[in-house]
Amino acid sequence: MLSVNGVTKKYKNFLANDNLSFTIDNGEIGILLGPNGAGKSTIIKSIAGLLKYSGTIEINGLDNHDMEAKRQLGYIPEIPALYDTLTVEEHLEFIRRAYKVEDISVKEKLLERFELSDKRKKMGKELSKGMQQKVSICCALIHNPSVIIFDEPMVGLDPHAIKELKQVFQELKAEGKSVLISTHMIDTIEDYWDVAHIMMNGKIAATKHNRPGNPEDKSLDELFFEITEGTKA
Amino acid sequence: MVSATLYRKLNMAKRKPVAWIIVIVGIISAVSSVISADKITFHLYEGDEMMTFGILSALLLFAFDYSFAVGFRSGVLGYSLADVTFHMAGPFTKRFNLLLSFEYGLSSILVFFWILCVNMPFFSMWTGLGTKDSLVFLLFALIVSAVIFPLTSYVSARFSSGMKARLIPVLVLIALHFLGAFLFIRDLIGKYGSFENVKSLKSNVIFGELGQSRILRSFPVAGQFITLMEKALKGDLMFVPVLAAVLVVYGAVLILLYRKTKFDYYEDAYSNAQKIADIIEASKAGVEAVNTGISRTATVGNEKFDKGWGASAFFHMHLFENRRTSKLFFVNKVALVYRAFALLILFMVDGVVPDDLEAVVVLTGVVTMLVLNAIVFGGGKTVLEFNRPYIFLVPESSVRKLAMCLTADIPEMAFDALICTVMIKIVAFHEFTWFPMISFIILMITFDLLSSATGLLCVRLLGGFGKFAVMFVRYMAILALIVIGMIPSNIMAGLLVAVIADSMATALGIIILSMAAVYFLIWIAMIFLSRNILEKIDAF
Repeated sequence: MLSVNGVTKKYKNFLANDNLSFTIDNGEIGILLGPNGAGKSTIIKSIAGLLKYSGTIEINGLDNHDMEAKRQLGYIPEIPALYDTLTVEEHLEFIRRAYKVEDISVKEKLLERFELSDKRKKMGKELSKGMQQKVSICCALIHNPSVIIFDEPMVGLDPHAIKELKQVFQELKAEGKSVLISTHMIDTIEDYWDVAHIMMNGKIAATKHNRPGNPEDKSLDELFFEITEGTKA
Repeated sequence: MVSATLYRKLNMAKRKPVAWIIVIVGIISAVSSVISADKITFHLYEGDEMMTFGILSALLLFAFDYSFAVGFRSGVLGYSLADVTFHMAGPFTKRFNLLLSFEYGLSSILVFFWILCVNMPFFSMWTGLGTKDSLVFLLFALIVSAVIFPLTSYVSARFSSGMKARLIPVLVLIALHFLGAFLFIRDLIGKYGSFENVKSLKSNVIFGELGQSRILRSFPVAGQFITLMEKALKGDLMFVPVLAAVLVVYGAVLILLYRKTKFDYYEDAYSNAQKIADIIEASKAGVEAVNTGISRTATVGNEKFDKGWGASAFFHMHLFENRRTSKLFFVNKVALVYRAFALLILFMVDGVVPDDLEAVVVLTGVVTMLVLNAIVFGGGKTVLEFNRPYIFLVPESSVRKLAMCLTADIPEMAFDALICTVMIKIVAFHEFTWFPMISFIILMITFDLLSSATGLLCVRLLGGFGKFAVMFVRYMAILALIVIGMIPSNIMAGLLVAVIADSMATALGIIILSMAAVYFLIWIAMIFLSRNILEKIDAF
């Protein structure tokens, strides 16, 4: 379970996140929607423990800087940050060793699952953006985290890879993991999400739960454009 | 196409007023340094013309080597991502784009000439070199660079495909130097009777012999210009038409090479552009490119990554990357250049200090090598870890992760320490025995680790203030650490020497080892404090 309480992040005079609070339960997929500069990546990086902030962020009840919390967190950055001269397989081996994962077979399973087996000997710098993203995802999943955060995971992926990634989201959800996805590509998220937070100017402007069949609910599209543009979609 | 490129470059220059100020200050300091050479009245070797010419000849050869290294290294492997996008994909010929690559090394060449200029008072104090002679030397150094720099850019384009091909010109040049050194020593042995006699020669005699050496005069390009420089320094005006003729021939050869060659370097330039982006990123953090261990070439072989657990995975991964990048990953080229400069200082000190005070030369060598660490070791590959999330995410203590990253540079540090040891040994052969030598190697590795940790702290704490602020504070901090470390180490050494030392060599070893112990303790303390750079500062 991921819990964000009253998180505020300032860059000098710029308020990137303003008192944000939300929760993603186990087996739930949360979406952070918003235009560029809304503060989505900032809160994602804060959850990953990469930024200083005020407020509290808990992963399964533990402060996100706690070693056990770090062990339970998987983070996929917006831009894959691979090591140029390590191969795909070596990336997974390095992360497996760094996270002290005893089970060697998990590496092979991930390579198979993400169709990277034939690319295992390719170096990070030789991979396309989509392939790099896949390696980045494998690195985030190899230690079997219970909370996984994705920062703009669809950017640069081809339609096949996007379809695959959506399948991964569903699998993670089915395994009871908490998944948080930041994106500005509203047309790619369809209906696999459970809760969507629409961000604007560092705040959560609206929260919508996915309850299909409720005729009074506005669609996510309508809500998004209403908030970000002040118009109806 | 020239005007479009000029427009872009001038616009970029306009946006850098600080760079212009630095350029103006640089020119003023260079000019005033050269002029002040005439005003220095204290000279260590008054009127030793042979030694003076020998030093200038060695420096001219150094200018040749430096220009070769810069031209070859930047050359076609220096293009930025923007250049690849706008120039290689744009309506420009391959020849024009190759000429564009001159720009990448030009700043390094200019900085090199600035260093030569501001050191002219130092050479004047040593040799009695006046302003006029300094200007003659600088003119010839400039000519050598002007000839070699475009030639090596051409060579870099011809030998761009693959690591092995790129090694050929470098190996040829290294082999030429070794052959030259061997023949020079053989000539000296022939003249002075034995190697023992040669070893006991003072540095001024060796430089004097070097200046007159037929071996040096035969060295390609640099040798011919050394001969011409001698004529110019002696006031023989015949050097003017000869120099003009030589330049015309070199110019014609260059034009012919550029016009007749079918270049095929775009793919290599493109694949290196991303690497250059990393280098620029590291450079913004105030770290010299070479010190980050960023390599432009790497190939997958049969090697297997199968070591490390927890934080130590970082240590083994860095070592693994280093080995894959180059078989000679432990050679720090920047360090070699600065160490060569330190050797020059040691020769000067050796020439002045009486034979029975060789320990002074050793201690000068130790301190000089330590001071140069302010430039040589600035954080290494660990700086690049800060561009990736893993060092922040992996659930291990920050102290361990940082220590593991830094210690992965120990092979490079050990090799550098070995080079420094050999250099001091060359100058202070008798007092620098096994015990002080081993102590010195330990001291250098310890202090290199400390310098790297200081570099990391500066990069993380002051990164937002720009490259120059980071570098300045780092230099000052390392110099301060040297002084701070000397106080307790001198007290410790004072006590131990009085009790244990039975010879000057043992005393030297104890002094050096005491320094190593103190710097090691400071390093441990600094790594402990540095954990906050992972835990308390925004990652990116």
